[in-house]
Amino acid sequence: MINLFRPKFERCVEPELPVLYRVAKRMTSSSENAEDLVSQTLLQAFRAWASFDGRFLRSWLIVIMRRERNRLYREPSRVDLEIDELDQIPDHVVTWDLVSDRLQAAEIRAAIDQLETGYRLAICLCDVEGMSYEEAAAALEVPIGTVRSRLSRARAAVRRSLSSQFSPEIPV
Amino acid sequence: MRPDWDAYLRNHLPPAEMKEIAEALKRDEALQRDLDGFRRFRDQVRMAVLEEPVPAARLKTALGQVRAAGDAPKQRGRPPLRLALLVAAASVVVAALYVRNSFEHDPFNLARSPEIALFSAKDEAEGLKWIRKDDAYRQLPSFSISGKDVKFSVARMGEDWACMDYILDGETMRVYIAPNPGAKEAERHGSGAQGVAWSKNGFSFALKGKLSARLVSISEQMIKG
Repeated sequence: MINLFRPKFERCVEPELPVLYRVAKRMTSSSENAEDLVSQTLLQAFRAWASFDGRFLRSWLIVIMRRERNRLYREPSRVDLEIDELDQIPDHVVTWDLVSDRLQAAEIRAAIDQLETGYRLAICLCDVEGMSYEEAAAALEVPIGTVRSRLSRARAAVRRSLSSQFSPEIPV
Repeated sequence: MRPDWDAYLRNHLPPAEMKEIAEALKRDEALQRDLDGFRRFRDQVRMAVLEEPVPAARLKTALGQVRAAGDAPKQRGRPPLRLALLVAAASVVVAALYVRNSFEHDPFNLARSPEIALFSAKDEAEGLKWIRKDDAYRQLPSFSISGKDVKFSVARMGEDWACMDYILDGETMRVYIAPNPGAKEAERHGSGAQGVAWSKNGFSFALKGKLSARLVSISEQMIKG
């Protein structure tokens, strides 16, 4: 049966374009590749629009993007792998009271881009794009607890990186 | 005490723990500084990424080309146009009746359909502008809630509702909006423990949850304003 009330693809997706580009850039680390990845994602999403269940559009698009990234670059996404590099940083051990007001944007972006993809995306989706744990978990296809854990460790790692490289006043 | 600030700010902790942290914050300046530092760090990370240039025009062009390139999903058994229009018109009437009738029963339940889009607008005005792009919300009146202690967070849309999220005292406050063509004069539909709901100028609004004095004041401003 035709769903006469299904919203038009373009109208729903257009507000998500900047988000998709920023997420693609965190996945590919290149502006050109990010644009290509967004284009491919849009194409696949359009073809699959009839199957979208109406829940968490952004998460649905990011799932498609992750799969497209794996297909285009022919390498397994590390998003889905268990990442143990940062596991040695326990959750919630850092204090934040001495965070500097003068962190530079480029330095913060560099610190984020040094993270493994799973951690990078956790910060990008939750802290930058304001997605809920539930939405981020749907986008990354991991449990909510994993999102929280990655987010916490990613922040600690970014802060540690900024501390060691640029801002000695931040204790780790 | 080492709270999970992210979970606290997202209101994801059990009520007792939320209350315990809120009370500790009132008497512990170091804890308050720690929370402020966490917020500052998160804001700086957000702004660092958001200020990167986005090739908006090229992305929009790519979106515009998708339909041509993507072999539009086949709609097998498409009904004749006249029948489709008839069904659509009848459905609109039924939907309008449903909205009005169901609204009378539960003015707080505006978000009856799943969420379909979320927009991280830079501020409240941009969030409202995004919602108004939908024809059903073109006449949505402006309102301003953001201030020193109320920070705009994101705008959301479902198929028949919209929502503006704010952060107040570390907790998310949601203003639900739904078209209500019958609503002309400002009319309050309910208030109390479950929140406050009102309709005005063709729209229904609801602020759900137990309201603090500050929220009651905000809702009064929106009803009168």
